[in-house]
Order: sequence, then C-alpha cells, then structure tokens
Amino acid sequence: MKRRMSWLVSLCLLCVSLTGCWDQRNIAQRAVVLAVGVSSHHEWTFVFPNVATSVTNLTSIQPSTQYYALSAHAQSWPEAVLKIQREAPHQVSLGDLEFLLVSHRMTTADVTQVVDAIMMDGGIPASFWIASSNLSPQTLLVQTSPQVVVPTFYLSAYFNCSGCHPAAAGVRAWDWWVRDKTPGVSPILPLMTPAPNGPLVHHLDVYPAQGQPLSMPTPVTQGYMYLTGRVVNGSLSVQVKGAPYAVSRIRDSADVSLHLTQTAVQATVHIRAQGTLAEDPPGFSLTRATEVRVGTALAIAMAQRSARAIAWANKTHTDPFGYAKKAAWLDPSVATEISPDALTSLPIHATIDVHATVQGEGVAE
Amino acid sequence: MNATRIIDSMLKTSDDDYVEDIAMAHRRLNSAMGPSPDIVYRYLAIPALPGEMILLAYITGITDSQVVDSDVVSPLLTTSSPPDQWSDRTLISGHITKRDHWSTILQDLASGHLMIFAPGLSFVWSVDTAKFPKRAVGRPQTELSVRGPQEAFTEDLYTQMSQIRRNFFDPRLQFHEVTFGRLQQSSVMIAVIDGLTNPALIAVVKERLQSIHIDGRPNASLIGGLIRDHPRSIFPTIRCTERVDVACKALLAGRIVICIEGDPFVLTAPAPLIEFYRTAMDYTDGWYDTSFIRLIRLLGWAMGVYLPALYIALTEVNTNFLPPDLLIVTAGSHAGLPFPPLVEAILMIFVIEVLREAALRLPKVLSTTIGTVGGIVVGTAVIKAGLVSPQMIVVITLTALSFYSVPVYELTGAWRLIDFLMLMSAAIVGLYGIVLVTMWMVGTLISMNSFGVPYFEPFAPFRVRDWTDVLWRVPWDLFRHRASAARPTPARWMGRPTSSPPPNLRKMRP
Repeated sequence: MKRRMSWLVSLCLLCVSLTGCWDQRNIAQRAVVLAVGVSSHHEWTFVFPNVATSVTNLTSIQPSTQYYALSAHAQSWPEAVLKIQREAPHQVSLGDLEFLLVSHRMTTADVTQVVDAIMMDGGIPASFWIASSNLSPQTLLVQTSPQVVVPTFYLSAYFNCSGCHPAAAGVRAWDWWVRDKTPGVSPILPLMTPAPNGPLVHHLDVYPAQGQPLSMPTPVTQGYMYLTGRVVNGSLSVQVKGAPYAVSRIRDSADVSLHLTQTAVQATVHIRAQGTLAEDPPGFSLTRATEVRVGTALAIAMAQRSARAIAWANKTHTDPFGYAKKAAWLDPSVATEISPDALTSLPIHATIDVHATVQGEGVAE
Repeated sequence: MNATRIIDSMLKTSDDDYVEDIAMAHRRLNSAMGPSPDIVYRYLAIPALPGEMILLAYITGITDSQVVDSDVVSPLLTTSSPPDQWSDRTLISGHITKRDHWSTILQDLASGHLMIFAPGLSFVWSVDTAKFPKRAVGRPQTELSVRGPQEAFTEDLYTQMSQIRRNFFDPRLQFHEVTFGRLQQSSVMIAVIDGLTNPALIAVVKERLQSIHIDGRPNASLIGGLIRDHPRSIFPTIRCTERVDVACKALLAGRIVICIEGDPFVLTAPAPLIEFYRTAMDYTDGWYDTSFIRLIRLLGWAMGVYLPALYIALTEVNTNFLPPDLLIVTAGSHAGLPFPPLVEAILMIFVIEVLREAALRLPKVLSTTIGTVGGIVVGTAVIKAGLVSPQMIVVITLTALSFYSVPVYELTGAWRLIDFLMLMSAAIVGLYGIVLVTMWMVGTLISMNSFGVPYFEPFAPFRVRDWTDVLWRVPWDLFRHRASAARPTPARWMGRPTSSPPPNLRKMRP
C-alpha cells in the first residue's frame, strides 16, 4: 500500500512538473494570433480575431471589426512578441498562426531569420502559409475580403482552397525551411498583390542564396507551374489554323528524369496535361480531329512557357524546380565534388515533352 | 461469543430433540414463535387415534389453505392408518418429511410448512404446503428489445427455474442448490448444462457461494458482490440480467446462471467486459444491423468517456490543438462568461445527475416530463444566465446520452466515474492527463479477470476466433465455435450450422 501511494504521489509530482501543460492559460485568457506581417524596416504586425466572434454573430460583425491588428517595431521575432504582449490584454497565443507575410524587399537572409525564429519558438506548427508582398505587409493584412468572414482569415483562405485557383502556389513554412536549408533548390514565395475583392497571385518570388528576391514574369511563373505539376485548374488560349480556341480546367502532372554532371543538370521532363475545350470559334464544328489539333497546340504552348521558365532560371542562376537537389540525391558521387552554392546555380539543360489531351464538352450543334 | 453463535443458539437449544407430548409441543411453539396472530394451531379428533387429538400448526398467508384442507385435513379425518404410515397412505401432498429436532421443526413452520404433531409419534410430519404470493411473468424493464422473446424473470425461485427449463427440455440442464442466510434462509440455484459447462467453473462458483455467511435474504447485487473477482473494482465482473433468453444464451455458451430467491435478476458468470456489450437484440436483428449498432455503441462509449475531457483539455490546456476556426468560435462563446470551462462542466454534470436521480425516483409519467422540461429549461436558462456556454451544453448532453448507449446498467456507473477522472486529469495536465488515465484504465482492465477468464478478452489476450461476436457479429452460418471465455466443453457451436440447400435453390447462393 505504501509503495502504491508513493508511486501515485510520484506520478502526481511528475504531472505537475510538466511545463506546457499545467501552466497553460485557458481559452478566455488567450489572444489568438492568426497572421503576422514583417516589413523590411522591421515593422511587425500581428492580426487577432475579434474576441466576441461566436457562431451567433458571425455574419453580423462589421468587416472593419472582424479583426484587429497590433504593431510594433522590433529587430527580432522574440522582441516583437514581447512588445505585442505588452499591448495585448491576454496572453498572445501563437500556436494557431496561419499566415506569415514578408516584404518583397526583404533579403533571403532576412526571411530565413524570421522563419527560423518562428520555428525555434516551439509552440507554432510549421504548417502556416508564407507569402511576400510588394506593399507594406500591414496594408494587406488589415484589409478584409467581402467573400470571407471571421473566423476564417481571408489570406489563408486563399491558399487553403485547393483546386480553386489555376495553380497551387501556396508555400508552407516547412516547405520554405526545407528549400532554404537544402543545397540545390531555391526557395520560392508567392507574391501577393491586393485587389478590391481579395489578394491575387500573378508571380512567384525566387530567393537566391543571397540578396533580394527575383520576381518571375507571369509567363515564366506559368511555365514553372507546368514543370512542377502544380496546375490544377488552369486555362490557356491557343491558335489552330488562325482560329482561337480557349482551353480551361487544365491540370497536369510532370515526371522528371535527371542526370547530374560537373557542369550542368540534365533534365528530361514529361508533362501530361488534360483540359476541356471551353470556347471554339463561331462556325466551327467540334470533331475529334479538332480536339487533337487543339491538344497539340496546347502542348506546344505549354512547352514554350516551360522552356522560358528553364531559361529564366539559368539566367538568374537559381533553381526553383529543385532539379539540382534531386539530381544530387540520385548521384551523390558527383554531388560531393560540387559545392553547395554552386549546385543551386548549375545550368539546367532540359528536354521538355508535353502531351496534352483536350476534350469538348456540352451539346454540339 | 460471536454473533453467529448467538443466532445459532436461538434456533438450536440444548433440548433440541422432539419429545412426544402434544401439550408441551404447543407450549414450545407458542414460546418460540411468539404471539403472532397468523400462526394457526388446530386440534383434530381423527378416527385413527380414538379419544386423542392431533395438533396441526401452520402460518396462514404463506400456506395454501386449499392444500391444507383437501390434502391434509380431509384425509386425516377419514384415515384409520397409524400415524407413522401417514406419508404413504393418508397425506396426498407431495413433499412430506419427518422432523425430530425443534430447530428444523421451527424452520419448516416458518417456511410455510404444515406441521402435524400426533400422540405416540416420536417425530413430526412436515408437509410442504407453502404458497407465497407472487406476480405474473412480465416484460423486461431494463433490457428492452424490439424483437425476440419478451420474458423476464420473476422473484420466485422455482418460477425462474421453470422459465429456464421451458427453454431447454433437456435432462442435461441441471440445478445445484446452495442455501444460506441464518435469519432469512433462502436458496440460490446454480444452473448449468452438464457436459457443456466447464466443471472447474461449476466447482469455483459452488465453493464461493458456500463460503457466504450472511444473516439476511440476499439479492443479486449482494451475492454478485460477494462472489465476484475484484469486489472493490468499479468494473463489474459478474453480469446481472432479467431476461430469460439472455440467461439461456449464457448457458449455451458454457456459462453458469445463478438464480436467486426473491430477486428477478439472475447472475451469469464469467462476465468479461465484452459480455456487458452484448444485448438480446444483437441476436434477433440482422448481422449487418447488429454490427452497425455495435460500432455506434463503441463510438458512444468513446464520446461518453472522452468528449468532456477532450473539450476541457483543448480549451483549458492544449488550445493549440484546436483548428483555428473552432478555437476562435469557442473563445467567442466563452467571452464574458464568469466561469472557466472546467467549472461549467462540473456544474452541468451536477445538473444532469440531479435530473437523472429525479427521473428515477418520480413516477414514470412525471419523470418523462421532468426529464424533458428540466433538460430544456435548465439548458436554456443556464445559457441565458451566462453561467455556461452553449458548446458546453452540447458536450454534456452528448456525453449523458452516450452513457445510456451502454446496454448494461451497472457498467454505466463505472464509465461515469472514469469520465470524471478523465475530466479532472485533463483539466490539470491536458491531453497528457487523458493519455495517462487511458493507460491506467487499459492496464486495469487487462490485469482483471472474471472467474478465471481475462476480463479484457478477446482484446487482451488477443483471441482471433472470438472476434466473430465482438465489435461485429458475423452471419449465423459463420459461427463455428462458442466463445472461448467460459472454456465450454465442447467448444464446437452446432456442427455445421447451415442446412444444405435443395438443388433448385443452390444456384441462388453465392
């Protein structure tokens, strides 16, 4: 009996000594942080939901009062949290962080420092989205969208909606972290621009080993999406015998074969795409031959954009595709002779083969 | 001198032997039984003993007056046989025994027997004329089913035995009697199927029953509590049932059934945990329906035991585990409320328990109204009063409903306690506390046994063959063996249970 009691007392003491459990605040004493923005001038913005948000008043809260933001000037993440905590009446709870918005003007090292600090925090899952912004992050963070109401934050809702946008451009924290820490691949972030009804993503920012990020032009971004198989609901207009055809609901997948040499990465990319003929010229009747011709034109257009993406990467000495990393893993003996920095900037010699299938839908006359 | 000896001395004195003397016998009966007006002393002058009187003594109310008059008094008034031959030639009644000690004479008299004291007879005739008021066989009250037999046991022991016998008509069904109780003597019957029930199990149950020494009339809970394994555990290790079909199925599975005089609930043993989740309806519905319902029961159990604890852990301690949307809405629901979630949970559990107790004590018509009105009014009022959040009402209501998905009542109490323990540990150390209590619970279940059977079988030890009737119930034609829990002999269920279809229907079978 005495032994059992001592065992019980030991267990209770062990439980009480577990930090992170008994010393936690209850839900009413927490200020939940949904999004964080950081500018190149070290201006930090923390976005909180309205504390009075409940099921009964979700639709009645005014857009301007759905969220509130607190800002602080700080040189580092811990300092920013400390300053925000001083202003907040409750304990700042970072475990539900959904979105990190960084300034486009921040260098790779700056973004790495912020992300690493957040990852070191311990209580924040590395699944939050990261994006960059041309404007001050605060501008985009405090904006509200008429399409989304609390408790959903409109910027994270943009990336959470899978299959809603032409391509899956979202980057999660762990994805950034893996790309940032691994030689042979350049980190990327979607560049968000504000629009009246919400954010838009037209470009990707590619982060070289050092310095400012490089913005991909729109066609290059499209080519990147094709090469990485991220297109889930794309659209493209092609010309067949001088007549315009619009292809929508394009989705693709890409298989890559890689070979690493001392001077380059040899890549053979097979892209398979499917789409639906959304619009054909007036007076043309849809036949199987037309579908094949449009498919061929679509494949050519995709291959051209993909080639431009490869060319842009070679020009900027970056590798957003991660081809060098994959090739190095496949052939470690060659990779050991190349420095990590050089691996990322190796030129890519790509052979791109696209096979596109287009089908018509609806009732033909 | 201990209590046992005092009581025994009251029944058995030094001059316990019966001495043939009618007048003294009358005085002795008066002295022993006291001035109770329901004791009848009747003197008869009979042709067999001219010039002398015999004394009849019995207790009205627990004797059958028709049997007394027609089977005893009437033959005695016409017989010319000597008194020592009355059992063979005169008395018509079935059970007649000789008694020559006052302890047994008084015991029989108190049990409803008619005692015949005759001059020149060195013993007393004891005629079984007992007839107690008893109710008719009714429908089960606590183990309801939509289909199948609707027969419940009654309080009368011999009626219980006849109810079981009526389901078998087989000489291998046997009853072993054990009597105990010093002041209120009563019998229990151990029903077994000879050749199927494991002899070791019968021996253990008999041994445990014979070791009981109590004063009063036992009931099923008392007997079960005295003979079961782990009598102080919150988990029941012997099952009570009021359904005849459940008891008969237990016999067919090689278990023993203990019928108890005065209690309409019989005991079945051994009873591992899974046995408490088998209901009569499981064997009257289709296998698919039963299997689905068992899945629902499992989910109901999980909800009942874990839901409040999870809610408290996720709102008090480990808030990071909640999806952000749910966290924000939950935090909004708590905004402005004076109590933390734990206090809300304890308050609502208290309300639910009070409502449950009130519904149990009140008449059925009132209890339904009180349950409904109380639930709705209290539920609405506590939200409007700002005492409890709407989410807490949902959590506690779901929990309360889930507990009643447990088929056997005595297990409901055990899970309620576990739920409370889980709740408190979750409030202190969050999800880690839930894990700890779960580990303790599983460890306890694994370490227990019921009459030699592991309590947590067929999960631990893992017995694949018994899984035909655990989380799901396979179709009847796939039953090949009895559950191994009771170690029945033989284990084979019923040979090949399917009949061979006629040739014209054979193609219809897959």
